[in-house]
Amino acid sequence: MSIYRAFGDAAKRTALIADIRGKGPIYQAWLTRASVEGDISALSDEYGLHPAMARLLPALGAFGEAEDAAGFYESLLNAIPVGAETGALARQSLLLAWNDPVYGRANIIKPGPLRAACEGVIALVTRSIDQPVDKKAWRAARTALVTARSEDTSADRAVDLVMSLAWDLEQAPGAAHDVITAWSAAVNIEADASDEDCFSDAENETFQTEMNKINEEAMEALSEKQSLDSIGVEEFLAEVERLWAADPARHALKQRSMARRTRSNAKMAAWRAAIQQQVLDLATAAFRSPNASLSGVQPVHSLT
Amino acid sequence: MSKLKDVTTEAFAAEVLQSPIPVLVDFHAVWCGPCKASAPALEDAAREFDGEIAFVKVDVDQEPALAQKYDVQGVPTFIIIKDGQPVERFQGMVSRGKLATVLEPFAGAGE
Repeated sequence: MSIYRAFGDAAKRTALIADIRGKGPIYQAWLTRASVEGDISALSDEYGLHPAMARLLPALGAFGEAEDAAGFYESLLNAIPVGAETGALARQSLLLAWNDPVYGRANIIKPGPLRAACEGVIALVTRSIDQPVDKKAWRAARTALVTARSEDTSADRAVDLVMSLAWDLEQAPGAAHDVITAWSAAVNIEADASDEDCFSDAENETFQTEMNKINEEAMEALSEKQSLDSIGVEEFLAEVERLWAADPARHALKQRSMARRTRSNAKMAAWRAAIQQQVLDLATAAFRSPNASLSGVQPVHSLT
Repeated sequence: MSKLKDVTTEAFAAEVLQSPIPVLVDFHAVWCGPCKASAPALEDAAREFDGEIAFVKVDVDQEPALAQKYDVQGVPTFIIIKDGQPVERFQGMVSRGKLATVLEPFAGAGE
């Protein structure tokens, strides 16, 4: 389906893995910021990864800030045989955003016209694993979803994600990035909302107000001793910390906020680990046999 | 080559207000991170809706009069103009999903 064949030769894969391992977070940051703002065509042109896979990788690694993004990249790259077509794997991985039994958005949208329209999109993504889907079909699916959405706004965030799935990845591979970003944001909101110590609206407002006040107080205090230009980030953060700790009421609020963030981050890490493992499982299954089919419909002719 | 054309105040009437098709105007600034981050999605949408919806960019620092006329308070701000009139506006970084949701109703039924 695509012109991209992974790596070209084994030495190139080894070189890419070594590059990621060697350059660490800086490389990962490059990998991801470039996916948002600029050009990551090198990953496709030099290493033969389908452009959708090239965008999926950093997004699944939380843009290089995840616990062990490099380890995940390495495992996935090792699971992809030299010469494999990776667009099908990218599509199958994106379908997890709908199908995953725990985190999939299919759990969010109730049966009815809206769900049917979403399932129309999912059917096209599934079909696109094995065969081209024309522009008219994508457009019709999106139009149906827009129409259904106008009558049911109960699951807007989930519908946004499905709308990002409704793009031809041969023409718009960046949609892969949009899907994972939307999924991550939704899971994050759910993690916050299900926290054991949720802030009330009033507490949220108080926290925001206090945070703004403290930032201003910190700048004011530091600027009395030195010029604004010479205030360093670490110095500023230290002053902010001192101000939070100096007031017991503020300190308690900050401690609660930090504890909530820690719990939320742990939930996000669990989500990422689960999805990364499923992507690795999909890769292992897809590339185990040249006749294996990612969709179960027909052999993936491009996995040669 | 970018599908998003830069438009000046002088050219705005001809390129946007008198356009026979709806126009998505991206009010942006060169220093704006979310504007840059939105660019790939806008390029994809411009290709997808080619011939049905036109896409143009207005640099708010270069064209303050246009920003003021359309009450642009932050960037990026997107305004859809149809038959010379603003019919939809939204702010902030956009995904392809968001763009499809907003643009499909102006693009015709799956043409």
